[in-house]
Amino acid sequence: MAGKTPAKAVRAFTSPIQSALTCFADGRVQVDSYDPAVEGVLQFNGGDAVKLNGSSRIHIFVSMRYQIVESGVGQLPWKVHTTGWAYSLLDRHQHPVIDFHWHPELTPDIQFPHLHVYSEPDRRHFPTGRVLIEDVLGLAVEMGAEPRDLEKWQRVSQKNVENFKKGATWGLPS
Amino acid sequence: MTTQTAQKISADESWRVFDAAARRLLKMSGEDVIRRWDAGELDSSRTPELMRVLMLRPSGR
Repeated sequence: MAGKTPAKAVRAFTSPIQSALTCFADGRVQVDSYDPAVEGVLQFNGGDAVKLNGSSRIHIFVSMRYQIVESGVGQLPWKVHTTGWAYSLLDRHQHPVIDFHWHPELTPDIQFPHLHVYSEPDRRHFPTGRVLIEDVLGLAVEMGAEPRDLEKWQRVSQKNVENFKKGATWGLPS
Repeated sequence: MTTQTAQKISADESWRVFDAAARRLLKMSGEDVIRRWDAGELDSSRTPELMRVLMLRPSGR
């Protein structure tokens, strides 16, 4: 997720996220910072949950936080680090089913990526590895969401994950 | 299906996104969420929606 300028690095970061989400839902990814000195907020659909395509009416909420940093690479001197995420899958009534969280700055006692399952009696923090939006959308498909174009979704997901592997510094998918 | 591209929004617009989420999900203003969170009055373990709102809090606010 590198670029010649901070803005281009952010666009390289957001483009695959928008592409993946567009396979399932209308809505726009928005970011609020091209400034390396300011941690940015990324959200989808104006920070509101949005229904994914499919009769199960699964909803998704997406927010990430990011920092623009120097890459040390001459041609593409800026890159984006993810510094947190909150992905929620909600049922047709927008009740949460599962949350994927990583928010180390908000909860100093919970530094690791984790998930919450709302069928559990209390709000435990189940540790996870790095979670990509493609992972969450893949789970949504298991829960009944339907990509508008299955072949396109498979193509987009595979390409995004492969590109992520090239630039990621931690949490590489297998 | 329309082709969408990501969009840069201003700090003020980002605040409005946060404030709207606070009012929609927590029934309080964004200012109140920040004041109460910073004072340690809100418990994220009891309110699933709280972390969704806090993740939208613009930097420096």
